[in-house]
Amino acid sequence: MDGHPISLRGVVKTFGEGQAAVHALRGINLDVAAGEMFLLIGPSGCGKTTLISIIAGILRQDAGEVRLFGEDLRRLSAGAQADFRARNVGFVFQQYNLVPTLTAQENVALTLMIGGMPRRLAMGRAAEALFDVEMSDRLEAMPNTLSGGQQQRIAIARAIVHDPRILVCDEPTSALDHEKGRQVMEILRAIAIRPGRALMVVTHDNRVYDYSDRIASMQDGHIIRMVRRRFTTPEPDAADALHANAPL
Amino acid sequence: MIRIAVTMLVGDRAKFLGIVFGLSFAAMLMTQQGAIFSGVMALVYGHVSDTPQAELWISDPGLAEIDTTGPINERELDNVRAVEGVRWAVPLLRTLVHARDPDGRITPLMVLGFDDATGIGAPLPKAMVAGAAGALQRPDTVVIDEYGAASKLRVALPDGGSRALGLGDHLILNGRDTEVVGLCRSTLSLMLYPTAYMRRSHLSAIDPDQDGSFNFILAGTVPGADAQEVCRRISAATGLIARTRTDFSRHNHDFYLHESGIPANFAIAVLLGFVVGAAIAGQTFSQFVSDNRRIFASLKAMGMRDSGLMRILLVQATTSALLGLGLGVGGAALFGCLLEGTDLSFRLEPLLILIAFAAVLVISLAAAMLSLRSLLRLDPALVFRS
Repeated sequence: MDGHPISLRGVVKTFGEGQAAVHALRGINLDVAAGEMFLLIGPSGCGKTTLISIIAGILRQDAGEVRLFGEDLRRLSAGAQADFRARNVGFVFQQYNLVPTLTAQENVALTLMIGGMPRRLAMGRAAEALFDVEMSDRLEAMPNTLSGGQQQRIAIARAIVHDPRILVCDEPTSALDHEKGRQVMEILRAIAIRPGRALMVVTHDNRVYDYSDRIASMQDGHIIRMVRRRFTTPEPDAADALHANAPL
Repeated sequence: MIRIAVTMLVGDRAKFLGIVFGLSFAAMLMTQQGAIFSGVMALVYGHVSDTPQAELWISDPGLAEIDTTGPINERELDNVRAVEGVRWAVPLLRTLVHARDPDGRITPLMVLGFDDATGIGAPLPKAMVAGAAGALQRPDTVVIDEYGAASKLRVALPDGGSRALGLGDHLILNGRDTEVVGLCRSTLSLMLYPTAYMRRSHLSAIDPDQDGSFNFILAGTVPGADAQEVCRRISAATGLIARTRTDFSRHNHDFYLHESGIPANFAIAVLLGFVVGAAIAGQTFSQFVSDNRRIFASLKAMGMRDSGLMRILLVQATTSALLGLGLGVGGAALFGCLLEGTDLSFRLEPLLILIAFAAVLVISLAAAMLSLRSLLRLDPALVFRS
């Protein structure tokens, strides 16, 4: 298990009890390497969301072991888990989840302020992160004045501004058109992937498969297929083939 | 985080206004009703306040309140004067008299018959707005308070209009023609009767039922004397009840507080304000938190501790409380300004503002704490659900 930023062994998660029990994860084993973009795909209800929630440290497994950079989160108190997330985990959400009453810069600075950084310093770092995602001209913009692609870039800046070791992206392109989705994936590929950082993307969007290094396909709480890819340039045909469950 | 909390709150304009409206409503109703209550309660000892020369008020031991007391005679007055520590003591006759105006209309007047020899109990020179209290030395003369002259005792004009009673006008008091020789400022009485001043000898003459008696002795103490001790001596020596001005005011205040339905009526209005304000603000605040669940879940997922969420809610609650208090008290103060020159009494005291602040703070903090419960239970994994 050592050596991988994300390492799961026999992870089980069940919601409810008895007849109504839903077995979301049925013994997941998974290692995600540093510097790779790992995609998690599968139909609705297959357990993807449960799995990334556990990996992100916001949901506890019922059984099995989850280690993030060697840390077993189950041994941490709720407060220590929150601190761990504040330092080590970045989130990109499908609906962006930006605070609508804060400017782009404040939204990004929020991550740092949650981690305890003073506002002035956080605002400076936020401006740098927004520069990285080519949004430095919209520091003062309110989220509702921005396009979906621009909001997702801000969300990415917010996710990476504290230089997290794990980046979790939930359907980052599903609300965007093809061109904006491509731009977002290129930003994630170019900025978010760093040596020592694991990047995990949950998606239904077959257009993004070509940006990945590895793809895990889930069904009924199991990982049923794992495909290793070598990222070169987007290959729509190959992505379509995977999406159609064709062997790769 | 304070800015984030405030912008989140203010950014949701409809709910922000709802919360502030609820708190303002509560603050305004509580402050306004409290100020009216305070004003009304001050009326019950208004005539005590208007007679600052009297350090001690001495009355029949059976006195319930200033309008309900028994007669005192000259012998008892002499006994009071003989008590050690009493510098001076004078009689005061305070009685209700019916006044008939030239149109035949009858209006009750609260008449204060002050001591002929010293004038203690008469309107102070600074309280006179027209004429002079000195003119009361002539028989069958009276000084009327300006509120009564301008409201209850208006003089009808031939053209159908009316004017305020003024100097030189006449009233028939208990069947005796009396000339108005002055107008003065005076605290209204609880029943809003106009107040009139005349010498005690003249008042006794038009109100033979008094039979030369009076109902209060006003007294002063020798310099350095302990007023409470002097009161005890007077009571022991004469059997009358002597109170300092402050104690007598409090006695009248407490009588109406405990023996009348006035406080209960105001308390119901205040409670209504509190409950309605709490319901509006609490419901809206709860809705605000519920509508922002996804944002709060994001903050939680991003590593915000429960204490951080609590701080945000507390800032939002305190901001709402301060705004609600400001608007509510401002509204109540405006109401008070509009009341000037009317029959209604209004006394906005700092204590009332403090109580209103405490009340809106309790409402908003309670609303925040109720919402906090749901936030603490909020599953941060919600952020991954569409």
